[in-house]
Amino acid sequence: MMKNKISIFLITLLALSFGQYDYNLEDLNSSSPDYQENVGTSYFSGKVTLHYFGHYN
Amino acid sequence: MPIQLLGVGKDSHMSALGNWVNNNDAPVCADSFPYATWSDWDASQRDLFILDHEGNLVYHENISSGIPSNIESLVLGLVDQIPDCDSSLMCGEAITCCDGLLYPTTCCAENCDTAIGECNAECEDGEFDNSDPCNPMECYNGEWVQIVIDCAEQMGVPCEGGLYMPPPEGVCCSTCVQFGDSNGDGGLNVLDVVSIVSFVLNGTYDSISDINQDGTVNILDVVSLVSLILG
Repeated sequence: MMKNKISIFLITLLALSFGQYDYNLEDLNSSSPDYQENVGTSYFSGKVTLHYFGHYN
Repeated sequence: MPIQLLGVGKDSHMSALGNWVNNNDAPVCADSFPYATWSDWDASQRDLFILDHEGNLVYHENISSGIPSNIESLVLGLVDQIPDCDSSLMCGEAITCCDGLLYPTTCCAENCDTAIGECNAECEDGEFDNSDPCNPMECYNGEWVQIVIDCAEQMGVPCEGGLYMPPPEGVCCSTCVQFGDSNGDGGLNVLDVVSIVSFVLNGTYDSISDINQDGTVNILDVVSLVSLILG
């Protein structure tokens, strides 16, 4: 319980430090190493990140 | 490579996720109605955003007409800006000398600290100077630190049943050798008897072999030693 609270605090802290360009959404790609994790800019802290916004119909 | 590609779609279109990912391993997310992430990022269909390692936006373009040719050099340039250090490292607070420079923690530059000065480089850490075995020195933080040696003889500890013998070269403290241990191997046995007999026959005086301390090494010392060995 305590561990979860600390994780939420750290994620919030990271999200705040990364400002506007962040999100916290579940990875739906089952081929991804981060499948079912909540990812975003701060999740890949320290890396250069490329975000493609789009959708298929 | 410290580069991560992510896709952000809309949950209303995720039935076509297979087309999106096409067996690649990039994370793909679905923003839910009313698409707050799309709004926050001011994103449109086929927009590409590039953020540096600190999360700063450095590029935002719509790539419906294709990926610009300068993207690769832009991304590689951003990768070059990533420092080799990790500022989140937990380090002990101690002035430490690394590569001739002083740092405030034991991590030196690995936690992104900048040097606070130059080391007084008299020596390299870990270096050892035993030229005077009673005053050996070890290099710590670029300076020689003297190691204190306490010897039993100098501290007044008696050598019961034996004599203090001068230390060999490179050793500071004398050794307490038991009477009769003529070969100095730390035990009394038949080899010591052989040594003492040899001294008797040669007329050699050896203070350790002079078990009864009468000033000569003779048959009485041999008898005493045999008696000591047999208990």
